[in-house]
Formats: sequence, C-alpha cells, structure tokens
Amino acid sequence: MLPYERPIITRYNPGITNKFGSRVDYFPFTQIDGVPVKRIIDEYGSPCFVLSERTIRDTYRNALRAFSTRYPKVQFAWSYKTNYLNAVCQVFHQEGAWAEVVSMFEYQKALQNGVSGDQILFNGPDKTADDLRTALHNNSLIHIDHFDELYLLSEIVREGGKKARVAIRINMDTGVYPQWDRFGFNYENETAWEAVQKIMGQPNMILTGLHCHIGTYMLSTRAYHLAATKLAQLALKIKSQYGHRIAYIDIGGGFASGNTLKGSYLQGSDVIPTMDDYAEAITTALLGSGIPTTELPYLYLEAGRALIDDAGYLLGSVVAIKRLSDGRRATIMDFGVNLLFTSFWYDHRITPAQEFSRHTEDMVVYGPLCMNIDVVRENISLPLLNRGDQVVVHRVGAYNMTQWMQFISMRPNVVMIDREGGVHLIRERETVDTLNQQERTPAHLRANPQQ
Amino acid sequence: MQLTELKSWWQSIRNSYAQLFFSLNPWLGWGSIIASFASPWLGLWGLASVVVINALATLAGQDRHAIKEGMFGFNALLLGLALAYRYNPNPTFAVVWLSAMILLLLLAVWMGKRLALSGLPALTLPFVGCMWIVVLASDRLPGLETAHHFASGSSSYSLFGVTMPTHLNEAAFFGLPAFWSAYFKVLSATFFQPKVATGILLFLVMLIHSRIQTLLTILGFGMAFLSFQFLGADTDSLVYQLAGPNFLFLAIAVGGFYLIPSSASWLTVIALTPVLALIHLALMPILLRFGLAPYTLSFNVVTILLLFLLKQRSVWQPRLELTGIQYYSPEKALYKHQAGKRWRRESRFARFRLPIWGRWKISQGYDGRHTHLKEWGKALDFVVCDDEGRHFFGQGDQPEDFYGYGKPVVAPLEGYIHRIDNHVYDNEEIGDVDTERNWGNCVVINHNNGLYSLLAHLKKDSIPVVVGQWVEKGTLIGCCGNSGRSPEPHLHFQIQTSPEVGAKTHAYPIAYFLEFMDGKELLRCFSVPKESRMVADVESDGVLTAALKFKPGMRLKWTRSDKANDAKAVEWRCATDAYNQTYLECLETGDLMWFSHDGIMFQAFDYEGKRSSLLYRFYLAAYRIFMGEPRGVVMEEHIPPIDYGNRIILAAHDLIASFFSLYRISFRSSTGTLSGSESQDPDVRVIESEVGSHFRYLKGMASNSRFLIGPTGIKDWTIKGSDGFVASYSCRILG
Repeated sequence: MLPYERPIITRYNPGITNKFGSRVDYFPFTQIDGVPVKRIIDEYGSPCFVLSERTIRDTYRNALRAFSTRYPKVQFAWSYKTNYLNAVCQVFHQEGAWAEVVSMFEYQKALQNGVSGDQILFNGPDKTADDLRTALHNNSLIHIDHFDELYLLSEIVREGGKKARVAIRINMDTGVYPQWDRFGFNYENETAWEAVQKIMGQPNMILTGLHCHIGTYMLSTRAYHLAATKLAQLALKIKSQYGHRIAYIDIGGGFASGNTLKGSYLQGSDVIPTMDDYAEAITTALLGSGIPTTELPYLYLEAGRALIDDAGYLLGSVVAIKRLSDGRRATIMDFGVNLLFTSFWYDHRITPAQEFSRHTEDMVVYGPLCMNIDVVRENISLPLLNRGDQVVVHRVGAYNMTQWMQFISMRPNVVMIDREGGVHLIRERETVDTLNQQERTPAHLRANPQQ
Repeated sequence: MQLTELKSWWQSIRNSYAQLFFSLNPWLGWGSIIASFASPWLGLWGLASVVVINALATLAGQDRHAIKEGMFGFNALLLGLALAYRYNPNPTFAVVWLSAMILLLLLAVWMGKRLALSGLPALTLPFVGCMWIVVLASDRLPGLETAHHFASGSSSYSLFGVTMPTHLNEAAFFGLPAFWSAYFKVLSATFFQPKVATGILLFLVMLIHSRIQTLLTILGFGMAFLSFQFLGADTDSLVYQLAGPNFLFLAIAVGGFYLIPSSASWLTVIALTPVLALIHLALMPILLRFGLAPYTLSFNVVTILLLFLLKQRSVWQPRLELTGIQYYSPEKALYKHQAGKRWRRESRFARFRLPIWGRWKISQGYDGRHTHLKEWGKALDFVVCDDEGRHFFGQGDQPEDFYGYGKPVVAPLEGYIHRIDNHVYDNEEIGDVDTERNWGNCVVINHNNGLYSLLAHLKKDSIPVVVGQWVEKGTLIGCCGNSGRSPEPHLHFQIQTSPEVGAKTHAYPIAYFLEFMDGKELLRCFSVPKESRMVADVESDGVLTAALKFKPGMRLKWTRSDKANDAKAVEWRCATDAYNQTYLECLETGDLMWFSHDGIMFQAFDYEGKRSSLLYRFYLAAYRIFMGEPRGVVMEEHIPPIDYGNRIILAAHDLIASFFSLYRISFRSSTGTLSGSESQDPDVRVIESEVGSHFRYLKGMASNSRFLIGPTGIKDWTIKGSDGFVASYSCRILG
C-alpha cells in the first residue's frame, strides 16, 4: 500500500509508445548492507553519513588484486586527505595499506593510527622545517615538491647526520589537458633531472623513489601508461648514470570513481575505466620499460577517491517542497553543499529511501543553507517527495568528510556498518559546545562576567 | 721437528687407538693406549706398529688427514698386537713384523679404495689378510717361534688350539657377576689381553666418549653371550683371538656408527648377532685346518654385507638411515640428524617459485578430478578469484570477464626457453575446449637440471620470450589465456623430466609460497599447494638478502659496540669447502659454521667448534632466517641439543636418545622493521631470534639475539646469552 502522493500535471511527451509508459530508473534504496536506512536515521538523526566497511574492503581488495596479479611488488598508501576518519584509515591499514599524507596534522593522525614512520609518504608543497625534521626523525618517505623544499631539507639533514629517504614529484605531459604542472619538477624541460642531480650529490639524501600524480578523476588510462613509462625511463637513466637503483615508482592516484561529472553525457559508471584498465596500463608500461624483472622497483599507489567513494552514503530528509517562479519544482533537503562539497562537480545520484509510484518530476534540489550557492542538483528527475521523506545520496565517501564545512549547520554523525551488519558511530555530530570549546571570549565581552 | 708436527704425530697415534672403537675421542684414545700396556711387551709392539705404519703411509704419500685420523693406525695396532701375542720376539720376528707392516699398507690402501668405490668401508679386512699371510708363512720360517702360551695349546678346552691361562679362569673378579666380568674381559680382549681391570678402564673412557656406544657394546656382548649359550657354543671362548670383540664392533658399527642410532638400528644389532655367531662358528673349523683364526673377519663380512644391502635400497626409507656426515659420535650423528631432517630434505630440491604474481587460487591440484589424471596428475591449475570465490566479473561469458585472463605468467625457475607454441586462438566461448590442441599456447623451459617446466593455455601472442633465450626466475614469459583444452581462462603448470609438450608430470615441491587461510598468511616451504587454496608467491626482501649474502673471500670484523671497548675484535672469513658448502670460519679459534642462502631462507646448518666463540652465538642466532616478505613470519626450528643443551642433562638423555627425544632445543626467529625514530639510518630491518631448551615441561634459560640490518649490511648485533653474556657488536666487511 503506497502512501498518499500529491497530484501532478505532466506534459504529454509524444514519443514511441510502449506499454510501460514513461520509464523510471529509480528503485527505492531502503537498506545499506542489510541495515534499514530508516533505522539509521532513527538512531543517528538526519542527515547522517554512512560508510560500508564491506564495500571499502571489497574495493580495496579488488584494486590490490588488479595490480598485484600484474606486477610483483605493489604497495598501496591510503590517501589521508580523501577521508581521514580514523575508522576508515584503520580499515585500509588493516588491509595492508600504508599512509599518504600532505600535512603535519594528517601525519600525526597516521602515527596515532599506528602507522610506522617509515610507511608514511609525505607529499604536499607546504612542509615546514619542523615537518621535515619530524619526517626525517621517523624515516618517512619525503616527496620533494620544489627546489626550495630540496634546499631546506639539505640544510636539515646536515644538522643531524641522519639520512633522509626522498622521492621527487614529477609533472609531465601525458597528453591530458590541463597539464598539472604546478606540483613537482617538470620532466620534459629537464627540471626533474636537475633535481635528481642535486639529490644524488647530497651525501645525506637517498633518492628512494620517483613520484607523479598526473591529475584527478582521470578518464584516460593512456595518460598513466605514458606517466609510468616516463618514470621508468628516468629510473633507468639514474641507474645508468649513477649506478643507483630506484626503490619505488609512485604513480599517485587520480583514478575515477563511479560518480558522474557535471556536463557528462553518459553516466559516470559507463565511461570510467575499471581498476583493471588502470592496472593494465601502468604495469605493462613498467614491465615493458626495459628494467630487468629481477630489479623491478616497487609500485606505490596513492589511490583515494576510487577506493572510498562507493563506500560512502549520505542519508537525508526532505525539509520542504516549493515551486519556483519559472514553474520548476524545488526540493529542500536537510543537507547541502556544506556537507556535500563534491556536488560542485558531480551530479550525485539521489534515491528515495521509501516506496514510491512510477511517476517522477524534474526538480532542483537545494540544501538547507540560506545561501544561493547551496544547490545539490540543478536538475534531477525524482519521484514525488513529501516533507519528511528520506533520501540516500550515493558515492560520497571521498573528500566530503574532509572538505565539509561547519557553516550555518553543524556536521552530522558519521556511522560505519561493519561486515556483520553492526552499526558503529565513528564520528559524533558536532554541537554548539564543539564550537565554543575553541573560542575564547575576553572577560569584558562575556554575557555573564562572573564566569 | 716442529711442536705442531709432533702434536699431530701424537694425535695420529692416539686416534689410531680410538679408531678401533670407531671414535676420535682423546679419552678413549688414552684409555686404549693404557689398556694395551697391561702387558707392556704387547703394548710396546702395538705402539711401534702404529708409529711405523703412520710413518710408512706418510712416506708413501697417503692422505695426511686419513693418517691423522688413525685410518691406517688401527689395522696396524691389531696386527702388531696379534703378531706379538702369537710369536716370541727375536730378530726373525722383527723382520717379519716389518714386512707385515709394509704388506698392511699395500693391502689397506688397495682394499680401502676399492671398497670405497661402492661406498663401503674396508674396516679391519687388511689386518685379517696380513695376519693370515704371516701365519701361513710361519710354517716355513723356523726362526719364528710361536709363543709358549700358544705352543702348548693342545688343550681340549680351546676352540683355537689355545690353552686358557688359569688366572683367567676365575669366575668372578671384584665379586662381579659372571656376565659383567666376561663383558669387561671381552672389552679388553680387543688388545689380546682379557683383563677385567683394563676392561673397566675401557668401559669408563668409552662412557665419556659415548653413552649410546657403551650401551650398544653391552647389547652386542649380551646378544653374543645369549646366542652362544643358545647355540650351545662355549661362551668363554669369546675372549680369545678377537672372537668376542667381533660382537662389540658389530654393535658399534651397525648400532650407531654407520647408521643413525634408532630403535631400528638396535633391533638390527639384535638380529645380526646370531648371524655373526653363525658365520664365526662356520669359519673357525675351516680356518683352523690352516692354523688360522677368523679374527675380525665375521664382523667385517656382516657389516659390509649389511651396508651393501642398505645402499641398494630402491625406495627411500625413514628407518635405518645411513650416517651422512661422519661425526665419530653416535650422539652427535643422532642429534644433528634429527634436527637437520628438514634442512637436508630441502637442500635436495631446486628452488621453484609459483609462476604467477599476486594471489591466485589452485583450481585443480595434484591428481585432480578433471584433467590431472594418471601420468599427468602432478600438475597445478591457477585462476584468480575474488573474496566470493568468483573467477570473473560481469556475465562471465567471455574470456575478458575473467580476472585471470591476460595476467602475467613468469618463469618458475631460471632456464633456457626450450619450446614455444603460439598458434592457437583463445577459446572465445567459455566452456569450449580444444582437445585437439590440448595444451594451447605454451612455453617449455629447460632448467638444465633434468627438469622442465610446462606453462600452458597462454594467451595468443602474449609470449615475449624466444626459443633459446635464458630467463631468470620471475621473468615474464607470457600471459594467462584460454587456449587449448581450457573451458575458462586459467594457467596450467607442470614440472616434467623430459622436454616434450605434455610429457608425463613429475611431482616436485615449490620452494616457498604463501597460503591464505582464515585471514592469515602462512609460509609454506617445499610443499605442493593443495587444491582450492589461495596462494601467492614470496618476494625476497632485498635488504635482508643482501646483508646475509656472505661471499667466499669476504671477511667480517666484529667489534664490541657497547661499553667494553677493550674487548678484542673478532674476525671471520667466508669460504667454500670441497663439497661446495659455504662456511664462516673464525680466524682466531678456527671454529666453523656452515650455512646456505637461497635468496629467501638463510640456514646455518652446522657448527663445529667451541661454545665460547662468537661464531657459535651467530650459529644460534641465525639458525634459520626468513628473508622474504611479508616480514613478521615466525620461523620455528629445532637446534641439535648437542649444540646447546646442558651437558649433564644431555649425557643422561643420551641413554634413551636412540628411542625417545625428550630434550629439545627450540629456535624461533622473526623479522621486522624498525620504526623510523629508533635508528639513524632508514630502511632498517630487525631480526630477532630466541633459543631455549625444553625437557618435557621444564624450560631452560633462553638466549636472545637481535640484529639490526641496513642497506649496507649488518649494523648491530645484540646478544643476551643464557649464560649471562650480554654484548653488542658492530660489523664491518673487509674485502
């Protein structure tokens, strides 16, 4: 028995007639890993982020299998910036991933998560002298981004006499536009080679790896093939010029997830390469590079988005329905761009969490903020929703739980469903006290000066 | 003459005496010398014979090592004693004696080398031969006077025509039971002077040498005693002309010298004693006609026949194993044998790896249900599958849907590419099989050791190697495909002893691989992966393998890195011996440690030397170390108790060691990394090992060891010995 739906008037579209009427692609999404969405919202409120441990592990194992059955030495490093909730990181570490961090606070998080210092890759353009000292102290792998960092590190290694394991980040033309050339040293204009020469001349620096990160949400595997080939050539050049063996080639991440980019004609999952496609492109490049099999370097991967996006869901509820001046329908949700930062570039898939009829209507989905930019979907066809109805936003595991804003509303609960169907609160919702905790009000401005 | 040369002469003399009892123990050597001097005149001739034969052998350019070990001396000793016992000393005797010694040398070298071709020992055959020749010749030598105790021998008492001197007729000595006094007399009768007192002396020094051997002599004698009684022969005659010692020698040789002591070897002694008695009794009347005695012939015959039999076994048997390395100690042979079982087995095999990268499933194992049948049974099929056990994603109706399709296949062992087939198109339909071109596209690798690998059903045009090319282990040789008799993409891997495609399969273990069970990674060594198990190859850890790669000629210098700066540096040298075994030698003490290193496993498999040396501690610390990934795999092994155990407990344990092993020395090692901040250098590995003794539930003190290993080699070694020795060493490689 379906609940009451408000009446709508739809324009008759004369198309090829068929006996099914207008097709609905949506099915209600009532449970995640066997746990009813309603129950989660009842217990943890709305909105609420949900992470599926099973999906994380499955995705990781699938990726590991894709690479490790094609190449003998593979190591993943979990990209902390993509989602650094400790529970999420720990799932990856349990699966064998190291940590890839881009700031000192992420670095500290990794250490606190029990990652051994020498299994942390330290990326990013902004590393302070103290950051570098800490990384050096812990024997972490320092990925140098620019010459100023190289000079700073060379001063630091002179202080202690301890040797630093370093890699250089390299940018290059891989045939994609725009070329990411703001990070690292350029390959084509030999800046990278200059950096190699400078490092090889440093007695206290060991050039351990070569790193690149050619872009994000890359839809072309060819670019990875080119990048891996170029890094392997550089490793061979270093071997022939210096007799020095590069221990690893870090191909970075940037693998696409199943989300649909805005402006894309086809659904994301129809156009993105699979993890096997990426793996095939990268490993065949390395295996065919001329490096002898017995001397193959480790292949490090810093995939983030492709490993976590599918495991994240955002549960929310309808706040209100209204009609806009141009006649379009608008639905206001209790989540917006404050929680769903990625809706700036994705057309997120949204499905109702309860039964509905076959009728749909086009609408705009707004968030709860009183800001004009708070648009979750500019145009989406959804079944007829009422106030209080619940929806599930799919593939939100990457970046949202790190780039979310505390603006107008507070950050909600985050829960994880374990493989046995147990629901665990992994990040408690913020309250006004969370905010006030950090604030310091001078005595003369306090509401109650006695406090 | 140099002092060292003099010492080596003394050693060769002492060893000649100890060799009579299959030993090189100095106590037993000295004890025997003293025992042989119970009759000083006999003793002197015996000693002179040993000196002369060693001198003759040296002059004749024989192996110095064999001379030093008394390999010529013991035959000469018996010959000298037997001659001096039979004849009165006079100038004629002296000439005959010297000629006999020369003859002995000729016989000993010839017999020794001829029999060695069949892997058999000459034992005391040269002595028997010489003695017979002299006795047969003596009738024509009027100058040679038979000794009076021998000449007057027409007594009905004796089987050899020898009178029994009355003082030996005493039934008891020191109030000992008849059995024991007879036993001691027989023991000392080895020197032609059956006396209870010298027998006791020999018993005691033999006890110092080996408990097992001493027990065996009691067993041998007891059996002889019983079988003589049972056969109705005269037990008193056991003390004459080496009749009794035959049984002792048999017990020693079969019970624990040529065979590893065990219940089976003891039973063999029991079974062979009546046989020996039979031969001895059969020989006596024939030989007596010529005035000869069998001496030790019966023991020689039985022992050599048994060894021949054992060497001709066509199937390997766990029982009655022959001693590999001759340690001249039944205990040592037994303990080293027990602890070294695994290592010896492993050392026989080539180091095959799995022909894949990453985690695969064995979809069909040895003697599988589908195609691994009969002569083609010892083969492995590999597929890739996910956590749910599916081999494919999507519909699974085309090869591309299968996880394994197109995945790299690598050489399982180095070798020449012998043959390539690359003309079969992959079956496009899942379930289709091409029984005509059964093997599909395949590669045969000749490993140059009589073994060939066949890797079949490869993807068409995926083979990057060419015929005749040398490939290292782990080289990409093609991709998993769906060609030939392949209903779904999979890899077929078999080892064979002939190069044809699809030859009979040959069961052969994979050296190292990981097996995944219940979320755990288990290291499997030298076994065959079982059907439906998830397996992965083991990659070696470059830092560890490089650090423990000791090459011949390399020298390691260890200096104390802790407070004790005054302690002397210790230097080791790495070298290779005649058997192609690599060892470390302490340049100061001469202690030796043999080891093997195959890229994944380091095994220190034997040690000879003092327990006080640093090399000994290294032997304990590096007994077995896994140098692959993942780190953290725990290696568990047993060290021979003789190399670690408490000597008093061990001496007691020796008495039962042939049957039970209650005293065990456990060894554990694991590798890990050092969390960065703990060390100056990056890329540091840690090897931790522990050795502890257990007597049933009683645990002894443990010895611990910790190595820090960096890209430049062993950096630091911390030892905490069970003896309270605590030290840290740093290592430097010289040359």
